[in-house]
Formats: sequence, structure tokens, C-alpha cells
Amino acid sequence: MADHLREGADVTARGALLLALAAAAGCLPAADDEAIAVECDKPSDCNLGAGEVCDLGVCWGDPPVGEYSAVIAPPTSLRGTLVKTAIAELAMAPDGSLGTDGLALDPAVTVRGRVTMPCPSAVPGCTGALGLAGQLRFTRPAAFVGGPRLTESVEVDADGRYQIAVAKPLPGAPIDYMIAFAPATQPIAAGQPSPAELVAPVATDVTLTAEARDPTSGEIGFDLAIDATSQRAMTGAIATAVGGLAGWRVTAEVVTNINVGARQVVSTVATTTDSGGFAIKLPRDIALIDLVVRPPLGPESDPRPVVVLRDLIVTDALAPIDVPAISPPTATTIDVRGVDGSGAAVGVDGATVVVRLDFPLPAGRALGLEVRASTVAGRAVVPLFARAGGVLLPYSVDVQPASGSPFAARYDVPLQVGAPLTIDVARRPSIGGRLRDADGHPVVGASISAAVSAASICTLSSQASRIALGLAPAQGTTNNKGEFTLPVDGALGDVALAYDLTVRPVGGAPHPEWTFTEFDPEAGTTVELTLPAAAHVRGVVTGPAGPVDDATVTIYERLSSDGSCVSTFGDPAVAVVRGRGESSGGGHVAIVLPRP
Amino acid sequence: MISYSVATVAASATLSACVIPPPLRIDETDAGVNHPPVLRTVKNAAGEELSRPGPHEFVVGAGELRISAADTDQDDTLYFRMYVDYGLPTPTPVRAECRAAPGTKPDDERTQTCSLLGVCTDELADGQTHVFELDVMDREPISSPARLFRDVTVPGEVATYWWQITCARAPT
Repeated sequence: MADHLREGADVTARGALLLALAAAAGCLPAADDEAIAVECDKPSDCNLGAGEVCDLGVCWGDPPVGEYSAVIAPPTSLRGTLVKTAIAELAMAPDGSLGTDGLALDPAVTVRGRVTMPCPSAVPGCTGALGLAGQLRFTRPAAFVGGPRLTESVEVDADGRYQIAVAKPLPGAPIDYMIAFAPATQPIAAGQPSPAELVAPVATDVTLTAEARDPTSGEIGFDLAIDATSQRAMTGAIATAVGGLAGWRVTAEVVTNINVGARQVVSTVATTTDSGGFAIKLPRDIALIDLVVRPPLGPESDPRPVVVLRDLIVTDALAPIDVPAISPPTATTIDVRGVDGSGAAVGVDGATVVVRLDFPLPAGRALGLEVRASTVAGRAVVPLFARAGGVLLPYSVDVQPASGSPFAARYDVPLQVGAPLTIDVARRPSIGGRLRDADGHPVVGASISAAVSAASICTLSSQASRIALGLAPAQGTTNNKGEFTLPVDGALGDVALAYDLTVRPVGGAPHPEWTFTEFDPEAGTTVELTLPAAAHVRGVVTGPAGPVDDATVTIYERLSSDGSCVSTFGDPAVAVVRGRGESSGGGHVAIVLPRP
Repeated sequence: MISYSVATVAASATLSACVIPPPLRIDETDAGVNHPPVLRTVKNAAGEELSRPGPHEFVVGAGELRISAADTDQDDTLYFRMYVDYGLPTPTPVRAECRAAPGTKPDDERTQTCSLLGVCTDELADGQTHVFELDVMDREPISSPARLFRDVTVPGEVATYWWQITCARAPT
């Protein structure tokens, strides 16, 4: 151990760990008159039987039992030569050393090419192929179950050219990529269509091999030539007598996660002609879509209802779509009131007011609208449309006070257009308690946040899940006694919510991150949270040219499926972040892991 | 003499890879002066720095940022506040927030992982580019008529980064 740490040491754990971790991070705290504290100053201060070693005043090692993986991200300055790298099976030695051969970043290779389509008739003057602007992504599958996919993305220039650095394939070790191209929505030129109007988003698989590298430049050439004729065309027309038929925007969407209401546009963006006609293109393997018909962008900014045809079987030609006549907008006032701590009625400021319309129409159509406004001095004013085809439209209102507000959300309050509406909101219950470390000491200054638990989200309807996933977590920090209080909503509509509490100790603190699950805010009890013991591990991040500073190392624990509907975003199993750190001082990185 | 001191500080800071923001006002004593916070780096969940101006894709209901900031007033709590399309066309409330407290061993440098839940909501997943702003404040954020939902208690200071983002309803 360094002598400057040993001399005059007054042994308490926390200061030593702070110093050691800061030193490992390349940021020694300024010297002060405080006694320097250490966790260990001789090997026997550590758990030698478990393999721990004492170094820099810290007991390193005795890593947690389990299956661990890691992802290393290079610093921005090296992203042309190094790429994000996953270590599927992360070795952690008893002395806390990470990786069998350190933490090695994969080298990069430059892929260069052009995204094109055959010249369409809609673009005059085009000869041969038309370059398409947009975003291009190269994605490697997750290296471990539940882990993140490794994606590199680039904005493709207006002429379709791009270059991107991706993981370099080695001889005998080709790399599979999923390539996705999202065409740009900006017009190619004034009066011309956008790439998004010409081709639907494209995804394809490709394998890059070492043999494909140019022997001179070392680069790989890859042109993505999109054959728009290979995409399925679907034609249709809207029929309406009010406001004109031209300029309506039509897209096809699919549901990507029915549990949480996730959706994705899969077609070109079509604009209706003067006669109301439109044609969209979409991938041939898509059979069921929601067709969304949006009104023209008018000079006024008032959002107008959209017409949605749900669960439509893809055919070559659609029956005409009737769009009902919509009445002019009417300004509608919504007041939001609560009761403050003194018992006085007050206007609730800064709450988000969401006005929704989901009105079924004949022939499988629905009229939809979602308008948002914020309360100022307790009031929001929104322009709404009273009638469609002569029928009074039924709106509902959600009020979502900001996270941390003492006032609770309310959902599905009926609204009549034009009539002032006052919504009274209750006060939020809170989750309060105290946070201690594994030794029973209060944890000071830790960030603690409460987010709707995954289990709660799975019990909600698809629409309510959409709302829950948009709610910011309540967030606070522990005081000098380790105490915290987080105001949260007890329910979403009539469904009770539980919360997961995520603790993130202040940077450099010798405590691990940890998430405590399933707390009921309505229980009203004070919770006592105890963090797991900390295991200190370390490693050296390297690239082909040697140690790499400013890389980020994230360690995941692989767990079997939690059965959560939310995890179907990615994989059936989950990989939970357990610790992270940045390398410095010669690629060294130190990470605190929980050892439950 | 002043030049020498500044050079020494700068050289030391560079050698230790930690740049300590100097007080911006040199004509006052430290007592009572609040030094502004600064944003150092902002990284996504994959550890990649969020290059500016973007665009970057955020996913509804997912994601986090790892924010590094500094404040030479070591006892200040730093408040991170995230806004989308603020003032475009009207001021809108904070979308997500988190904070970094001094802890038991205060330091100039703070790193905090903040959830992105609430930044992208379904209605923003419209294929359009949005303006995402990150404020770091060293006093409690407040709402004032001059700056709705986004002001800071006197003598607080604010530093802001912005990016272009798109919101996706699911990972693409």
C-alpha cells in the first residue's frame, strides 16, 4: 500500500474508499486537513480467504457469485478506430481483476458506400440512381441474453453517401449485422418528395468478412441499393366533402409490443392528391397494419383529429375511407386545483394536461386526437373540435403534475368542448424511509428514484402502459441521516401502482447501485433499505495500441426471465446493470458491484 | 504572478486529467460568491458520449444518461433538468429530473446516472426532430414569470447543453 496512505491513518472505511476510487478514476481529491481513512492497511484487514487483496487502502476482490457480462464503450475521440465491445462471459478473479485478458476493445473498420434507389419519376432530372438521405444503423445482436444490441449509426448525406466505423471482421470470423435504413423526411429539393415518401424503412441482414476489405485502404465498400418495386404498394383514397381531399398524410404502423402499446411506422409517407388518392409502400412480409390518416398541415397550429383504421389486412387496393366533417376548434379552459399543506385551495402549476379522443366510427375507423398543454397559474387552454359529422365528440382529460409535485395525477376526466372544466387533484402519497449500507451506517447524498414497477406496468391496459412509460420517476437524495421522501401517484386510474426504488450512490462512494422492488405508496409505512455489501473490482481497458482512457465499462448480471411484459422489448431474459466506471490513468477502471 | 498561478493550476489539472473550473469572477473574494456549475460529459446507457448536435434517438419508456458535471462550490446540490421543445412554441414543464448531492466527502466533480423516463412520450414519437435540453442548476429550480418552469432560485446559476433528438416507440 502507498506510504502516504498509511502514515497517520485514522481507519474508517468510507474516506479510504473515496480516495482510492478517486485515484483509480484519475481524480485525487484535494488535500485537506482531514485524517485520511483507509479500509485496509495490511492484507489481513481484508477477507484473504475469499481472495481479497489490500491495495491503495481498498480491499479488492471477492466478487459476487453469478453470471456477469460487460459492455465497453470507447471514448468519442477513438470511435473511428475502436467500437463498442461486449464481453459475454466476464471473468472476475478472486482478487477483483476483470477479464481473462483485460478489457479489450474491438478494433473498427470503416464501411463506406451509398444508399440509392432507381430514379423515380417524381424527381425530375435524376439519372440512373437517386441517393437517399436518412439514418443508417449497423447492429450486432446482443452478445449475451438480455444484453444491449451493439449499434453504430450514421446520418447518410443528401447524395446517399456515408461512412461508418463498425467492428472489424477478422479472417475466419465474419460478423453478422442487421442493417436498417430510415429515410429522411425532409424534401430532396423544393417541390420534390422526401426520401420517406419514396421508400419505406428498410432492414436487411448482411455479413461482413475480412476478405471484403480493400487491400489498399483496408475499408469495406457496401452500397445499399433499395429496389422500391420490391416493396408492396397499397393504394386507396379518402372521401370527404369538408376541407378538401388533398394534402392528407397517410402512413401504416404496426404494433411492436402489444403490452406496452409500442408502435412503429413501416411504410412510406403518402400525401393525398386533389382527388384524395394515395399510394403507400411497405415491406412484403407485413400483413396486418394500422392505417393512420392525418389532416393536412394548415396555417393554424391547432392539432386536428386523425383517422385510424385498425388491424387492417394489407391488400393492393383499399375501399374509400370516409373522413367525417370536423367542426371548427373551440378554445376550452381546464383549471386544475389542489390543496396545499395549509389546507388552502391553490392552482396547480406546471402540470401536463393531456386531452384525448378515441371515438369509434363505422367501418372499422376511429377518430383520434391527443393534445397536450401545461398549466400556468393553474389553468390550461386547449383548442378542441366539438363535433364530427354532427356527432358530439367525447373527450377525456388526464392531469399529470410534474414528478416531485405534491399533487397527484388524475385520469379520464370527461370533458365537454367549450364548457370550462375544473379538475381537483388530491395530494400524492409518498414513499419514505431510510437508506443504510451493509454495515448499518446511513448512506448520505445517494440519489434515489421511484419508477412504476415492471410488474405494475404489466397489469395495466395497453393505453395505460403508454402513459406509465411516459411518467418521469420521482427523484430525491438522501439527507445526512440517510432519509428520503418521494411523492408518487398511488394509482393510474383505478389500478394501484407499485414502485421500484433505484439507489445510485454519489460518484466515488463505496456503495453499489441497487434496485429495491415493489413498494406500495399507499401502505404509508417507512421503509428501511439496506444496500448489499460492496465488492470492489478493477481492470484495464485496452485497444490494439495499448491502454485506453475515458472508456466506459458497464457490468451486467444475467438473470433468468423476470416474466415481465416490458422485457419483451428486447429478450425474454434480462441483464441488469450492476456497476459502471470510466477508465483513466492508463486504462484503469474501478467498479463497485453489489454482493447480496 | 497571477499568470504563473493560473498556469500552475492548469498544468496540474491537465496532468491529473481533471479540469477544475476556476471561479469566473476574480474581482471578489470567495465569500458569498456562487460559482456556476458546468457540464462535463453526457453519455448514454451504452457509455457513448452524446455528440452534439445529434440527432440521437431516445426510446419511449427507456434509457438513461450518465451525466458528469462540476461545481467548485462543493456543498452545492446539482439539479439536472431535462426539457423537450421548450419554448417551441410555448414553455413546457420539465420532462425528467435528477440531482447529485454532495455526499459525505464533497468533491468538485459529480457523476450521476439519470433516467430518461418521461423525456420521450408517445406523442413525440412522430418521426420529427425535437430539441432536447439539459440544465444543471446549483440551486432549487423554480418557475417564474420570466422563465416558466425553468428558473433557478437566486443566487443560483445554470449551465445548459442541447441536442437534437428523435423519439422512437420501440428500439429500431
